[in-house]
Formats: sequence, C-alpha cells, structure tokens
Amino acid sequence: MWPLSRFIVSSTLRRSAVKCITEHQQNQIVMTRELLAHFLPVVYTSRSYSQRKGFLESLMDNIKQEYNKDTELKETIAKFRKEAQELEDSDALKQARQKFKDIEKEAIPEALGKVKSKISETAEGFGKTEFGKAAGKFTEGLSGAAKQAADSETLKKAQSILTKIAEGSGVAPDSLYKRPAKLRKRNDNPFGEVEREFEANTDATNVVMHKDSVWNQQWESFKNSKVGERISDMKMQFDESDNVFIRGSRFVTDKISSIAGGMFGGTEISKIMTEIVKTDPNFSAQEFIEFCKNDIIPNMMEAIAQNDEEIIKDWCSEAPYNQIIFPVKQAEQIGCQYELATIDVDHVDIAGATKVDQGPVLVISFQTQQIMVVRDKKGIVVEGDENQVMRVYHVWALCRDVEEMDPRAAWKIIDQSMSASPMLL
Amino acid sequence: MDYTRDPCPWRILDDCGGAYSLGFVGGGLFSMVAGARNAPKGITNRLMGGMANARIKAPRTAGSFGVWGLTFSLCDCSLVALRQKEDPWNSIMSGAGTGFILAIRQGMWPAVGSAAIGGILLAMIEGVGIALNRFQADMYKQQPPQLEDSNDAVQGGLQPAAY
Repeated sequence: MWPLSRFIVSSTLRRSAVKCITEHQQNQIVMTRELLAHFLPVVYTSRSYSQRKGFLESLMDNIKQEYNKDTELKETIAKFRKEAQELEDSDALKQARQKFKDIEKEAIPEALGKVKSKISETAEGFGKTEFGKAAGKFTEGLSGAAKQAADSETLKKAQSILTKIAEGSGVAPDSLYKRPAKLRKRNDNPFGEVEREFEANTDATNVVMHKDSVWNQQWESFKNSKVGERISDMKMQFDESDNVFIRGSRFVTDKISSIAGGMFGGTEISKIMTEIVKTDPNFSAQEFIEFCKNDIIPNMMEAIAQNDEEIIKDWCSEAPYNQIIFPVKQAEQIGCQYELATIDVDHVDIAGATKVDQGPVLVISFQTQQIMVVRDKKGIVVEGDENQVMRVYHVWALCRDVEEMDPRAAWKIIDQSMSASPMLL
Repeated sequence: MDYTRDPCPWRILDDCGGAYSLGFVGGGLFSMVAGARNAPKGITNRLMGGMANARIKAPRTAGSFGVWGLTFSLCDCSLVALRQKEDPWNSIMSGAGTGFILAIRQGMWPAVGSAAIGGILLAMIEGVGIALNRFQADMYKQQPPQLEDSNDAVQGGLQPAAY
C-alpha cells in the first residue's frame, strides 16, 4: 500500500513538475502539446500510461533481464568449469605441482637448517662477547656449586634418609609419632627443678576487704527487704505447688532455663578449666592437648612396650594400672613377651571434664594405630599378627593433683579404657 | 544437561574446592563457638580459646569435606562416562561409593555401612531436588493459555501489502 501511494504521489509530483517546467514553455509549446495530444492521443496516453504502468513494465523488464543474465551466467560458469578441468588435466599443471612438492621437501629442512645455523652463529657470537663469558662462568659456577653441594654432608645425609624412608626405616617426619628417647616418671624433670618456692609473707599486715560492687550491694539489700521476702515466698510456693498447671509451667520454664542457661552459663568443661586456671595461670586447652600428645601418651605407650612397670605405676592410679598391665602380666605368665608397637597417635581431644575429690579431671580421647603381638622367647609370634595394624580408641581420665605445682608432673591417669579394631589398609 | 557446571574433568576440582571452602567456613565457625564455650571464664580466655580451637579444627574439617567432595565428584564423573547418561542415579551411586571408599580403612563392614548411609543421604537430597523441580514446573503449568481474539487492526481498510 505504501509504495503504491508513494508512487502515485511521486508520479503526480512528476506530472506537476512537468507541468511547472512546461508552463514556461506552455505559451510556446502548449499549443503543440495540445495539438500533439489531439493528434496523437495514443502517444500522449501511452506516455501517461507508461508512467502508470511503467512500474509493472519495468518490473517485467527487470525480471526478463535477470533471467537472461542468469542464463548468460550459467553459460559462462559452464565454460569456466570446462576450462578449469582442462587446465587440471593438463600436463603443465601436473608438472608444476610435482615441482612444488619437491621444492617443499627440500625447502623445509633446508630452511630449518639455515635457522639452526643462524641461531648457533648468534649463540657463538654471544658467547664470545663479554656478557656471554660472564654468563658462562656463572653457569659453570652453578654446576660447580651443585657438585660441591652434592658432595656435602647434609645432602648425603638427606639422601640417605630418603633412601631409608623409601626402604621403610629411618627417621619419620616431625608430625608423626616419635618414640620418646627416655622414659620418665612424673617427677623426673629432664629440664631440672622448676619448683617455685613459696614463703609466707610476714611483712604485709594490711588486709583490705574486697569491696562488692554497688549493684551487688543493692541486690543484697533488696533481697533482704520486705518486698524481696514476699517474692521469695511466692517463688517457694511456685516450686513446691502440686497444682497441675503450675507443674506444667514449671516444667516448661525449667526446660527453657536449662537450654538457655547452658548457652550462656558455660559448659562443665569451662567450669573445670576455670578452676585449673586458678591453680595454674598459664594453663590452656591447646597447650594441654599438645602436652598429652607429645609427652604423656608416647611415654605411656613406650612404657607398656618396654614393660616398664614402675613408670606405669607412677603415672596411673590402681585401677588403670591393673587394666594396662594385664596383658603384660599374662604374657609373662606363659613365658612370652607382650609387644606393642605404636605407629601413630592422632585426634587427641578433650572429651569432657568433671570434678572428683582429688581435684579436677579432664577426659581426653585419642586414637592410635598399633601393632600388638605376643612373642615367645624364640621370637615366634604366639598371638596376634605382626602385619595387622589395629586402630585403638583410647579414653583416659586425667586428674590434676592440686598439691603438685609443676604442671608437667601434676597429671595422673585415674581411669582408662580402650577398644581395638583391625584396620584394612 | 546442567550448563552452569564445568564439564567433567574440571568439575572434579571445582567440587573439591567448593567442599573444602564449605568445610572450612562451617567447621571454623562451629569450632570457634565450641572453643569459646569450653574455655575458662573471662572474655579474653574465651576469645583465645575459640581462636585456638578454630585454628586446629577448621583445616581438619575442611580437609575431610574436601576429600569427600573429591571422591564424590570422581565417582560421579566416572559413572557419567561409563553410563553415558546424566541422571540422579549417578549421584546416589556416587554417594554410596564415596562412603565406601572413605571408610574402607576401618574394615569391610564399617565400609559397607558407610556406603549405605551415603547412598541414603544422597537419595534424600536427590529426592528433594526432584520434588522441587516438579513443584516449580507445576507452578508454571497452572495458568491455562488464553486464546486472544485476532485483533484485526485493519478491518476493511488498506491491507498491508507484502512488498
């Protein structure tokens, strides 16, 4: 619709343009035109018709032209293809191709060779320069130093260690379990006496009372006042009432206060820790765990392995001593020796805490990988399997002797339990 | 096909790293809270206790999670390559395989039990995922398509000619 309207408009414009142009000449030509129109209506009308039909006609003409061109194009393409084929089959092209291939074969290695020679030339030239000489010395120096290093003691040692590890014996990395060089009792302090001596301070005579805070005083006075007494009476009634509803609400409030209080009141472990810190200001949980992992546990394990009853007795109280020493005694009874090889200690954790009469108790749990066998005098394995590693879960309760000042000697095993299971890999 | 994830070989590292960071952040937070609670009284003690505990525990938890993610992704990609399909069964079997592999050191029976637990866990996760997908699809399906009257803007007027 649009193009047609545009055409109509443009054609009318053209006609009007023609009219405008010819208006000047109208006085002169109008007569001729009218005469022409009169005499040659066909011409005039055909012109006007050609202007209207011109679009369609030109369209048809275009299509015809395109079609003709198309056929021409097809013919030319066919001709071109024929000629191209002829060229392909021609001998000249074949020879040219062959020649190209030969050149290719020769050219590339030649080119590479040229590049190589060029590079080596430049390298030589570089080597001859000052800088190159210095660089050469540097690399020589490096290799020399490397040789020296290779001959050095430490490297030899490191190599030997590596070969030993590869063969399955030798020094293990730091994080693995290490056998303690010397077993010790609790009071054997390899670093010497660290005893702090306490003397009574007889000079200070002024003792100042610790002043309670203002809030505390106010709270105390309130509790002792009449209102406070009334409230405490009511609370007593609430606690001891038998009414169903009150019992129900008491149950709910108790539950909530235990949960909420647990969050803010601190755990059992926290209370025990606070107490331990009072006696030993430098105490910390991490330090204690490190102490267990590096000192107490390896000590005990090696003591059991070497069947050193004295040391075990020193570190344990009665009950755990009997439990630990039981397999050793049994092996001795049948004339064999109980062997325990500890491979690794890991996952040392403080599992809980409690308080007994002797002092605060920390419960630690850990896992070991051990090989437990019973050998007779000739060395033959009587019970157990040499190559079977057992994963043993231990739980020890360590009590801190409050009178002992030295933290390294203060802990004693008052309970222990273990469970072993074979490991596959 | 899930186009948001990398293709299979690179997906393994992706999952391993993601699991490691998840374990690190989660384990760090939990161990910090636990350390603070188990520390002696006093705000300094609790802070130090929390930090010390987190310092020890967080890398361990992160490593465990990372190893779990790595084995899970390995099994998953292997199953996809074997079966030439991507469906929830891959995840379930991978979960079982991961449980088995990670517990094998403790013996055959614990490994089988761990595999069962892993499989059930993954089955639950996949089930929830499928249920969510179905629910979302239903949500979109509930509006019936309304037929619009063909609005002829040019009714009897000039028709647009296709030139």
